[in-house]
Amino acid sequence: MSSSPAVGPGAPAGQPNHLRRFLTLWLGSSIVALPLVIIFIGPLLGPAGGNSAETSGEITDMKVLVGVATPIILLVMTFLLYAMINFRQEQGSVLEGPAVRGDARVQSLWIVITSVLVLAIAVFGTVRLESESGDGSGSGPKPLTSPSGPKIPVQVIAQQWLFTYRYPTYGGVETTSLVLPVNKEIEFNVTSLDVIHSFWAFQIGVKADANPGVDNIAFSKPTREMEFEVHCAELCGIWHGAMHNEARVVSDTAFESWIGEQRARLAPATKVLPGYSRTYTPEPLRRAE
Amino acid sequence: MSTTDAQAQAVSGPAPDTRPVWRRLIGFNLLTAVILGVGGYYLGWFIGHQINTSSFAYEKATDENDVALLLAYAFGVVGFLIGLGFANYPVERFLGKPASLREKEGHGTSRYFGLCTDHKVVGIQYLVGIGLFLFVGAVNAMMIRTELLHDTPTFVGPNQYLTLVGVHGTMMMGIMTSGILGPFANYFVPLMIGARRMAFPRVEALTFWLLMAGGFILASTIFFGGFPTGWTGYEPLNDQAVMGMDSYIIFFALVGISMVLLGLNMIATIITLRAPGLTWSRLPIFVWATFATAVLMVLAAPMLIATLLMSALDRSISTSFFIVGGGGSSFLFQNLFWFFGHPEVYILALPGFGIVLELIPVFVRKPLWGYRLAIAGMLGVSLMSFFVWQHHLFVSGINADLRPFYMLSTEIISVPTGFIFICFMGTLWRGRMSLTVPMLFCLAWAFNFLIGGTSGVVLSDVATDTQLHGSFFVMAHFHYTIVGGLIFSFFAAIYYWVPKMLGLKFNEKLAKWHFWLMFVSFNSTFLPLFALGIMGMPRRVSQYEPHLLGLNIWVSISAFVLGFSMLIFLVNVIYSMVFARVPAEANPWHSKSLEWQVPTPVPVNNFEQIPVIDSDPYDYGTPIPIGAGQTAPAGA
Amino acid sequence: MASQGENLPLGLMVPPVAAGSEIPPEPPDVAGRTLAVAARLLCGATTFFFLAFLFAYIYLRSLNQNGLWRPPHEHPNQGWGAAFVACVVISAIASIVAGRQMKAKSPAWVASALGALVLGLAAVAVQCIEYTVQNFGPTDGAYASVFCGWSAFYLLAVLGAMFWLETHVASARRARARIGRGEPPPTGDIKEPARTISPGMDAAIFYWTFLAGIGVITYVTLYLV
Repeated sequence: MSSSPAVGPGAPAGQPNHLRRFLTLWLGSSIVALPLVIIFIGPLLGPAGGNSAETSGEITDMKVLVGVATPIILLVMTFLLYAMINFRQEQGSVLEGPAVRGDARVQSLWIVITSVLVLAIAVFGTVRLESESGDGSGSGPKPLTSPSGPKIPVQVIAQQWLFTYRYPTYGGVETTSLVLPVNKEIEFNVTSLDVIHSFWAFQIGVKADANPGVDNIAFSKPTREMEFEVHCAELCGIWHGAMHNEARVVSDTAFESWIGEQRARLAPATKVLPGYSRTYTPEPLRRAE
Repeated sequence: MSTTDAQAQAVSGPAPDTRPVWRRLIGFNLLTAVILGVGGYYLGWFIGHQINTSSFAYEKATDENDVALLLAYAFGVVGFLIGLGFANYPVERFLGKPASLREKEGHGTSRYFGLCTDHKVVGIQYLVGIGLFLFVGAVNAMMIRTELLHDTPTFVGPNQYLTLVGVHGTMMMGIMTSGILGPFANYFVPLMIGARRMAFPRVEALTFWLLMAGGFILASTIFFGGFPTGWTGYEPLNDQAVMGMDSYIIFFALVGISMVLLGLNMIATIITLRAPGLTWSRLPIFVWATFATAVLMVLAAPMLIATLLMSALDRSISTSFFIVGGGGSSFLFQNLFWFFGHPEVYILALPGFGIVLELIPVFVRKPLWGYRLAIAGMLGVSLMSFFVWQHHLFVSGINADLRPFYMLSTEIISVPTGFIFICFMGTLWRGRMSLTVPMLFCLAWAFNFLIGGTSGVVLSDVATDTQLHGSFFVMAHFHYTIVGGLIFSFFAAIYYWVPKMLGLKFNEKLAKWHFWLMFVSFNSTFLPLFALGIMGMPRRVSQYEPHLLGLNIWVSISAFVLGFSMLIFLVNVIYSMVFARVPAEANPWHSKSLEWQVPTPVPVNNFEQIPVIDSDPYDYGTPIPIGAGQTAPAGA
Repeated sequence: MASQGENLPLGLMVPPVAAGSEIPPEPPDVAGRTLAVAARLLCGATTFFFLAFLFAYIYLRSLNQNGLWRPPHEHPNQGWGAAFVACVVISAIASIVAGRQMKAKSPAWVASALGALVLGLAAVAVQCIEYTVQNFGPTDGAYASVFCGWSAFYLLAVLGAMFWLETHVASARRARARIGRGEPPPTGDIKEPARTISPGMDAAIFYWTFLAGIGVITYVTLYLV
């Protein structure tokens, strides 16, 4: 077989123009696949976007990232298939291929395009993160940005192996079920009493680790009345898998009536609870000896 | 010269050993090592119980004596190493005797069961030892997937389940850090650079035996109650755990020491023992990958050792590094661990890069495309891996100012990783590919690592990481990169190089069955895990939401098929090495690399004469004629 | 050779090695380069090891969780601490002097090296005494934990470095004794013992000096700041 000349992508006599064929295959498949992925697979990449402001942000981000990934994945996979079919050696022969050690243009193009792409994704991610006040992620005791307007603080206290929820603006009542009013900005203050846990409210797009002695703040604004699951997402001991509960987003009035009922019912317990604080350190302070 | 004497003796065969069996067994060998190891274990246990007395009432009440177990393990390892003969050289040097290279060698198969300073023997020891512990880890994985066949805890209790998860992860991570460097770099780096030995042969043997001791210690955790933290060993759960946690600590500390020494040895060898004419720009890409990995090993592993020692102190003598109630911080552990942990995963990935880029030129008969770009990619990955670790902590409550920086650095690290892919593709371009089994594994590597790598980019964005952290999406990501990347390249290296190491051919049909079954079942097992993560299944649980049951059953069954494909490989090994025993030629792949130019079996001193190198090993391909459109003569 | 291979179990095709074979050590200049590289790599590894403790110090101090970083009464003993760091520094200087003397082929290098060795061991002893007189233990908060952990592992590193130095001093004395008795050198050894000892000694001095630098940082962080 003839070898290809070193200069230019032109097809030598007798050989098809592999580059043109491959690029056609790749671009063609990308143009077909990309809209299909974004339209049909995109909405499946997380809990429904309509659940909360955070989930819609997360679905958007997933669509962008998966959308960028699709042509890249297609590039390499089409290439592998193309190479396996077209650049074969006959069984038993040991013919040599062309002694090409590199191509400065292709290398530079690759470096530039990948760098630009990566920087663009990073900028996109940063802008979205900060414009969405952390997008449901646990942002520590001093988040960079927080949503404007009134927020309802809900403290999530994690312990082995149970979440409890404390509402400081409602008398500091501590309940074992989480109920939230719809269309209100919620400020979760997540902390732990013993080991590291993680408060993962899947359907409303919130995850914040619970570290002992740390107040981890995450924001969310649920936009639909629904039931959702809360799971612990950080291994915390043998009943880590059992550490989950059901929670609800209800209308304003339903929430007010629920919290009033909880306050009344749990008043004796609230009296003996320690005062509301950002973190709690169970006594004794020193190590057991 | 004693070298020629030794060679002359080798030709005529060693003098037969006429001593009685019991006499032959006395000496510094594995039996002595085991005896002294057990002795050391009980000595340490005894001392620990003497030290740890009234001030630690908790330990008295529950018979939980971490000091005793830690000392027992430590003394046991020291006894084990003394029994193998590792203390002989330090003691001799302490007494001022001059440095000598090789111990009085045993011969025959006994070389493989003790301290041997021949790097080829150490390479084969590693191959077998790693295979053994990989098997243990894989059995754990099969048990995990059996448990996950049902959405509530069914077969094993929660503590056993977490121990299964922990031992699987820890065993795999600890053993596979040396998975490629141990067997293949130890065996082939001296051959590839034209040297007769590694720089520090005893240290090389030490890294192997440390790993073996560690593996058994980790497996022994089941006798002490297992450990509940998974491979990441997070405090304060770590501190709360029963004595089995100490097995994890000691294992990982031994792995860390082994890593530092292995990396040190590799770097010293590559820098100082290259043959004349072997400049840095002529070095095989596998040696470059080994170098990049070794740098990470030397620098990152000491962090791990320090962190584990702090954990051990917290557990045994009640210091407060990580205990919030005493002034410590759980974040400290996370930061320290991941500062090691992230370079660790590149320690796993880089040798895979080296293997595939080393192998594909041989199977497409073209030089490696973009040699300098590939090196830049590897060194870039190596350097950048120290600057990304906080992406494991995006939702943990760290300072929110830091997150955009780590998002950026994590995404940037995909650029040098991309260099490896363009070099891979450029090498394949217009090549003459023969689909041998090693080549198939390399192609599968590209497929798998691509998916693994891009899922990593998806995770690097903080907003998406919010949903996906701690879920099965992360599991899928790292299994694709570590199993799909590292293990597939590990098998590529095995099928490629074992004919040289052992001089025997693998059965081609069984090998192809192994590959296809493994590739299909691997993807069938781990691709759905992305979906499971997106659907909200957390990691390390044995109970999950019922609507995820169907997908989990599919995954478990695929995992069993994956396990079965490994059995095919085992059958191939036993069949080819024990029964069929077809001798392999000296250079079955017609490779131009230096390690294939020595005869099979490889002579004890590697080369008759140290070669003088005048080019890199990628001298394939018909040269390009100057002027377009000319037809060059076909073939070599 | 093939017949030898087939007789080995499991088909291992490796050539038999004569029992008791020994390969002489490589020429000292190659040994020198290898040991020099190894010493520098060990410095890197040691740095990252102690970096973990430095990070722990800085992090826990800035966090001051529950105000328990350092209860007000906790002080290490400054006198013994100063003695400790003085021993370390002077020992390092003595080792550098020993290296220079060895290069100048002066036989006094052994005495200097021995001095460095003794001072290093003295540093370990001094710090151990300090442990017994200080008014806190490892269970007394975060600063105490970092202090005890960091200094204890530093002492272990010092012992390792002293062992390394000792091997060279011992080699020199044994070589001198052998020359004094008029015996020929062992296989591969050269008549001038300093030439064989020198590469290892240079590496050991490099590592010890670096470790002494880490010791100064240890002292400043734990005792002074």
